[in-house]
Amino acid sequence: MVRITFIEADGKEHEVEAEEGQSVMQAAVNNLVPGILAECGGFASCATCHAYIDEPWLGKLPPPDVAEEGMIECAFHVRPSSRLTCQLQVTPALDGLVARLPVSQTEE
Amino acid sequence: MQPDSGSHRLDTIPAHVPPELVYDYDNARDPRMLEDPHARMRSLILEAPPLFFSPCNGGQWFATRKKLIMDITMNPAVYSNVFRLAPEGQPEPEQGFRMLPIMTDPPEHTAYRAPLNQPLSAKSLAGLEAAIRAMTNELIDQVLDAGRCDFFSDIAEPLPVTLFMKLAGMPTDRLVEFRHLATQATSATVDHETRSATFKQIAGILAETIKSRQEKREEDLISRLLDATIQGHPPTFQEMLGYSVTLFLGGLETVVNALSFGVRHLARDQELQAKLRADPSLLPGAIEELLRLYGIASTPRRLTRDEVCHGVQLKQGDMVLLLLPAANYDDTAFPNPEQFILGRTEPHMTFNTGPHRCVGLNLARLEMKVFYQEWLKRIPPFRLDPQAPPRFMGGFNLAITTLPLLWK
Ligand code: HEM
Ligand code: FES
Repeated sequence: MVRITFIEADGKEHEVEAEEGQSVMQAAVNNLVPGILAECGGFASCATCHAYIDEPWLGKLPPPDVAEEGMIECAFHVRPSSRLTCQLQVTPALDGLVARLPVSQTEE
Repeated sequence: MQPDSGSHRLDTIPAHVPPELVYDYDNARDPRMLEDPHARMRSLILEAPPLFFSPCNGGQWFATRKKLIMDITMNPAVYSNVFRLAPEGQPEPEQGFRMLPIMTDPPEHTAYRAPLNQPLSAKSLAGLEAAIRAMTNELIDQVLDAGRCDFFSDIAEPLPVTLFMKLAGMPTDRLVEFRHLATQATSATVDHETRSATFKQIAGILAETIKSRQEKREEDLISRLLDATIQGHPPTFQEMLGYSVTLFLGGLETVVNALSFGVRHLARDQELQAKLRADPSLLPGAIEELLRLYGIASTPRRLTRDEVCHGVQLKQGDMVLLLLPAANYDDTAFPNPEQFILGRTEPHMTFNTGPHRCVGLNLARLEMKVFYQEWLKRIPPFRLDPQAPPRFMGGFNLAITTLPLLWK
């Protein structure tokens, strides 16, 4: 089990246990974390699973592929640490990962 | 290309279908559906099993519940969007034209879908708002003084076609011709031959636009797509045509009917009309609830292997039609599903979920928001014409064919 903490824009924290091999998005959805909508179900086609990943974990992740990169540009409130959580695979190296959620997944 | 929506009726139920899961429902001709399509969707939730088999339309499964449909759409390896032309077990004929990205499965789909995501994102479309407003007002100008209109043909049909032409980069001096073709292509009253001839003409016009953009790029969607990279190569001419036809078909009849069903609801609910006129900030929420009550499209999936789905044994090659408009009346997701309730938090299924979730939903929402803002601002309280009630149609889309309104 790998621990992941999701922090909503208003500061509310949700610590969840994730399974190796699933996506960070899936861990959020399985634990009913509000703010990860994941409308396309994890196929890098909706940008509603957007989160900011804190260091040091951001640096440990493989860089986004073309599909993720293009979709991040469609997301709202994008920052340099923006990632699509459905494209992040849970590995032991990510234990303790902190993912902060944007104010909104669907609006400016 | 798609499962049979025609009249063919199976004589014998396939052996793997248990009798208690058989329910007679004809997707195109069911009389109760033709009387009131969405009331029929609700009755399917109440009367039929969540996953039932109907001998109509060539024999296929129908899925009606939200969770069930989500599980199916999230598993494209088993529930595929690639439809076979040849019978199961025999090789496919040479692959030619494919509608893109809809007739592909991940991971191929992800590559085909990517070039559409950005041009159709909410951010990129914001620049279109002024143009949509102007088009809406031109259409309103033409009917305002008469005190009546057929909302379907006077407003709902012209608006999305005009917008599509602008977005795609079609020559607007051919607007009238193209509008006529679009109407023919989606009309229920034209026969099969006229319709396929119409499709050829539409493909011809789209092909001309693609060719002229190949020579010189403009600020439009076709130009953006030409510059895209798909699995390392620029799109071929066939692929460009595949995109254009899907965008054309996907973005017209759906919006036309979503607008019409929504306006019909308001015409029958003066109180809601008044409330939205007084406070247009309620519109985005109201539009989502109207989209829930009046889902339009249903979409098929094909089984790539034998699979047990929510306790039901399905066989390789079986077709399942996902009845998205019915899922919006699933009580477990939407308590009191027949009621219009502002502020529901459960997302509706009208745009589906999963990788094929509508890529045009930002455009559809923007069109509807601008339309309702202008329409409610300028048109006085409106109602249905009691002499000419609306008429409906089934098939892959639940549709209206006429919607006479009065406001004098
Ligand atoms: C209220 C209006 C609309 C409704 C109800 C609607 C509904 C849908 C649904 C249910 C799907 C998923 C199909 C599936 O899962 O197989 C879909 C996909 C699609 N829609 Fe829409 N749509 C609407 C507006 C639009 C507009 C305006 C466009 C054009 C810009 C459009 C273009 C598409 C395309 C290209 C796809 C295929 C996406 C893919 O395969 O990845 N739609 N639509
Ligand atoms: S879930 Fe849709 S992009 Fe991640």
